[in-house]
Amino acid sequence: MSQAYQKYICVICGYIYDEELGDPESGLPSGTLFADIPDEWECPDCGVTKQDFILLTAPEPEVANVSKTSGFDSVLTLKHVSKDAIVVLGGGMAAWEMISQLRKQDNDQAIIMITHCSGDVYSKPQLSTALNKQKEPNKLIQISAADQAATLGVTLLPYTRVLAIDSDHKRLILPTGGLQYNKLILALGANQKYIPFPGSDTKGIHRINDLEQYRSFREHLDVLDKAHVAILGSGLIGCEFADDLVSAGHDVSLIDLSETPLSHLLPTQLSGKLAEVFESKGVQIFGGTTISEVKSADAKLTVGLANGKTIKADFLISAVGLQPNIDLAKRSGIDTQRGILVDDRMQTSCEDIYAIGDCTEHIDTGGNKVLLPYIKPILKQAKVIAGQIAADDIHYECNTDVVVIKTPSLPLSVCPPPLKDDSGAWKLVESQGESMALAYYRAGQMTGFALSGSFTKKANDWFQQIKLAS
Amino acid sequence: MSAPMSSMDFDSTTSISDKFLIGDALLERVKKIVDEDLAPQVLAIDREGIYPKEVMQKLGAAGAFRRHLPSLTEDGKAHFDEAMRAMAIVSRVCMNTGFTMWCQVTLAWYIEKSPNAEVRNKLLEKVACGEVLGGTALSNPMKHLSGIEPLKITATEVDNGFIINGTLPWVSNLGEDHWFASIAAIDTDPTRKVMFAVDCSSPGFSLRQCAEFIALEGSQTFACHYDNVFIPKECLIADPIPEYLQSIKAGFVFLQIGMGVGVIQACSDYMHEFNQSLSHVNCYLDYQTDELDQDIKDYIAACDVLATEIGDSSDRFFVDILKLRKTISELSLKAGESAMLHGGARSYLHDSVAQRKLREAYFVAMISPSIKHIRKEIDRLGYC
Ligand SMILES: Cc1cc2nc3c(=O)[nH]c(=O)nc-3n(C[C@H](O)[C@H](O)[C@H](O)COP(=O)(O)OP(=O)(O)OC[C@H]3O[C@@H](n4cnc5c(N)ncnc54)[C@H](O)[C@@H]3O)c2cc1C
Ligand SMILES: Cc1cc2nc3c(=O)[nH]c(=O)nc-3n(C[C@H](O)[C@H](O)[C@H](O)COP(=O)(O)OP(=O)(O)OC[C@H]3O[C@@H](n4cnc5c(N)ncnc54)[C@H](O)[C@@H]3O)c2cc1C
Repeated sequence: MSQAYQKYICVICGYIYDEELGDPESGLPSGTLFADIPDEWECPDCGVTKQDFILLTAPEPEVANVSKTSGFDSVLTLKHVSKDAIVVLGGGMAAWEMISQLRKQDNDQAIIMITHCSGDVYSKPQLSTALNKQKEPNKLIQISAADQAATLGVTLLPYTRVLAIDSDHKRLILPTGGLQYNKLILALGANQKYIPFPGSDTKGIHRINDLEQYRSFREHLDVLDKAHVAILGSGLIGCEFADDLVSAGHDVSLIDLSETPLSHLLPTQLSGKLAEVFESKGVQIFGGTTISEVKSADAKLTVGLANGKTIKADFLISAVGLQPNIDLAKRSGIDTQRGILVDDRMQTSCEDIYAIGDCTEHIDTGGNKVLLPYIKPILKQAKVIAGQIAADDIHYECNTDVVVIKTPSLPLSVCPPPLKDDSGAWKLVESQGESMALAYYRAGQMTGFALSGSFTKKANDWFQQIKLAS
Repeated sequence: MSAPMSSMDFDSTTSISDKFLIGDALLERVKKIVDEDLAPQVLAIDREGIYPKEVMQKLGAAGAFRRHLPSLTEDGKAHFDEAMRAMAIVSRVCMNTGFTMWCQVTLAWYIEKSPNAEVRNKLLEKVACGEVLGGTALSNPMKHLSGIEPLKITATEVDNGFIINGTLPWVSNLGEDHWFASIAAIDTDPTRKVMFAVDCSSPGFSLRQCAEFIALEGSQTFACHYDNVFIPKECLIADPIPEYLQSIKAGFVFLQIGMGVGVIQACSDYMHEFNQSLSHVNCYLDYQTDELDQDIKDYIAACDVLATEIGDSSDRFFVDILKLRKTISELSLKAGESAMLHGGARSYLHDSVAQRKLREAYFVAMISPSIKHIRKEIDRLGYC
């Protein structure tokens, strides 16, 4: 009589008892049914009894998602092409812009992108307006990294952190192995400064400078109907988030050492106007103070201020300033100060290594060292680097530009006067309710301006005037 | 027999930091112990399953088990790079002993990170100096947390402790007088788990030697049977465990790397040796000594950066560590295979270094977290 024999697995060690074969060494002849195994019988590999055996069934089918995790394999296969390749480190706007400029120039050049994030393409400025545009974080992705890499013919190593650069031997050190490069472009971006607040772990405290951090914030925020968000730092990022959150119906407390928001960028009058508008929308402004401690209990934060007040909040966004990511460069012997230092060829202190975007520090036309954490400079910088690599000696000119602040409650456009230019003064040129136009004059010449409300539409005209004057 | 330094020699006039070596002096001492005490026993360990107890004690007395424990270092910092290098020096000659060393330093790491002062006071120094030897049974819980298999141990809460039941198939560096760390789910609430230190001589606990392995036979690897074993509260390492596990994971995985580094360095030694007579044919092989030497140099450079960041308990950092760990598995396998091919028929002899290193390399690739486990975990964490 043919019998459908069954198999049983030891859940402890994975040994399989096959009724058809039995376990002759322990005295179970072939064909011994599991039910007939004596209770004293022991698993030959780990010594448990049949109680720890279960009928073997196939596990839930699962499709392995390993295509992109085989990091070392890809480094291995890349080894032989990479020595001729241009390698771009980073997966943000600077990196992608750089690659499209390189591609325009040469269709066959091997290009490799190595980035610690996914590399998915999104417009970072939209992070601070997404709530009111009712965009889920993932909807901000315009095209996946894999698709963009295919379009541009780039080899992509996502979720891979570059740990060190051996510039003498032109090697990159990754957790997945070493890789040779020919030319290297650092597009490593920046991060919000980390401040360890006394009394707190990091729960409930967010620093938002990329999509992943924003996603994590929204995951927590979106489960609450109305949240109270404390924001430390009323700079550009702090103000944009404050406006977006309050307009979406959340409570916002804005904390800064300055009395009024955006005071480093705006003339006092306009900064005061912004404070008024924010307060009328319900933002509570805690000026002239900072956070002295943060305590968390029951998913709530108690934020203690230096002025003795306390704020009960669900979250704290720490937005005290961007810091270029310089660790990798510094560790690798590339000159850095606040950022990775570049000359007007966008070259770092190491041969064949360029840098672009938020990670860089420049010397402006007035000889000042400046950071330019904006999109527009990236476009120009990418052209310069692509040119340099193609032996076209173009240079980057680092001029002042218009900064647009995305606070729909009071739109703002500012062209800050050159650094160290403090001998002039701001003058109110025009004012209609919330719309104001102020100009900065030095020795009878306009060197900067600040516009709010409907006047921001004329920012370009104002900017032309400054350009003409210089 | 040279008398190993034991806690008996502890002289109250010398401070702990004078007694144990650090930095290059430690690594030189480890090398000396390896050359003089370990090297002569390698075949017996591998083939006859001799457990290198004395070598372990000497390594502990030298200070090789404590460099990653900030509460015991001279500067209050964790020197994972030194822990890795010490293990590599040992593994270059005998990875069985490199592995028992991993069991030991990892047990010490768990205790160091435990919020329970009682268990720290009771065991940390003893494990760190090698007076108490022991291991870690975290493979099953790690695989459980990655969704690979159910947790095999249960705990019933009672006054002053827990009653533990269940079986683990293989746990190493154990013996009657050893300790190890284990995780169990509470029977009434399996979502709650506890981690604790187990004395192998506890009533109801038994070690069973069943399986025979292709290498690592001298690692004292046993099936662990708990039959109503009482664990007192003072032996609790963590309850609850989620945040605690997050804080030990990166160190746990990083510490394994020294095994692979040693294996690869041994393969390189072997290949260089055979190239003296066979370079005219070996040059036709795919993986050459210069490439391997460059790979291991790059790899150590990567380790040195990540070794300084083990305190980072984010998933993001853990993925960097998992990738580093996967790479050492892949490099070990490649190096082992290449060593075999470089030596030709000589590699096929029973006592050849290459075949032993190849067998050891497979262990690097399959001990939890194995290559497949790592890939699954990186996928689970959403970084693939
Ligand atoms: C020499 C040696 C020493 C070791 N030392 C230690 C040590 O010190 N500490 C330690 O913790 N580990 C130790 N291990 C274990 C090791 O880390 C691995 O975890 C172990 O080898 C199993 O891994 P795997 O890759 O085979 O598991 P996988 O291939 O991932 O197998 C998954 C597991 O699922 C189980 N399983 C399958 N189906 C079912 C089911 N239906 N129900 C329940 N279970 C099921 C199987 O039994 C198997 O254990 C040692 C192993 C060896 C060989
Ligand atoms: C909320 C918000 C609003 C903004 N609004 C505006 C605006 O309105 N107008 C404007 O001009 N600008 C705005 N900006 C600034 C602008 O978005 C940035 O200047 C620009 O996105 C910077 O791009 P980047 O590629 O240089 O840097 P990032 O986007 O920071 O990219 C850096 C990349 O480097 C990778 N990386 C870092 N270290 C490593 C490593 N070791 N190994 C591998 N990869 C690494 C990261 O994963 C990342 O992919 C805003 C910024 C924010 C946060």
